[in-house]
Amino acid sequence: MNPALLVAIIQNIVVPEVAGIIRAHRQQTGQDPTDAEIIAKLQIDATKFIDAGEAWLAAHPE
Amino acid sequence: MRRLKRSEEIRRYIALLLVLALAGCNAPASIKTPAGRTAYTADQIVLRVGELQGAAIQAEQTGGLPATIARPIVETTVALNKILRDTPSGWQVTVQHAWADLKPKIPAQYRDSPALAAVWAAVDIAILSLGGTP
Repeated sequence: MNPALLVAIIQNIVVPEVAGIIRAHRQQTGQDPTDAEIIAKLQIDATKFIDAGEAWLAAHPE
Repeated sequence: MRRLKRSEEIRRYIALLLVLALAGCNAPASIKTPAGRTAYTADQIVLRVGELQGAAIQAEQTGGLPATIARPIVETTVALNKILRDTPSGWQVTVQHAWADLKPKIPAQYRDSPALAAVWAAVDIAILSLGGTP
């Protein structure tokens, strides 16, 4: 694997999306996210991936 | 043999970068309660697990991964995300066991493939470094 490509992939994967959302939230509101907002985000993110995974599993029965 | 050594080298490199990246991912100061900090950590793992799921689905769609291999990965990622979402505290042991159960089901040739190696390592490191000790 090309090292430059590897670094690019790693940077894209390891840069946490949560950090980006926190920055965006701070820029929009001037404040860091609250506990309630982080808890809500966990619910939204997990549900999104669960729905996508279950849809794929339903389309690919054993 | 040379190929295996190269693969191991790449995995170690990825792991080192992930540890460095995750070390800087502490929850912001505005998150004050234990529940908020737990949710922040869980969300970090949810995102990594979701990336693995997306990579497995995409690799299956493009012929890089057999459906028989993608299925246990997706079953596990769905289960992991349900645990992380529905168990506000105490998810660490269950998540670590579910992840450990998946590993022997996926041959190394697929775990180390370009489609999965980085995202697999990301989940591994996230669970190890953020999940605590069972």
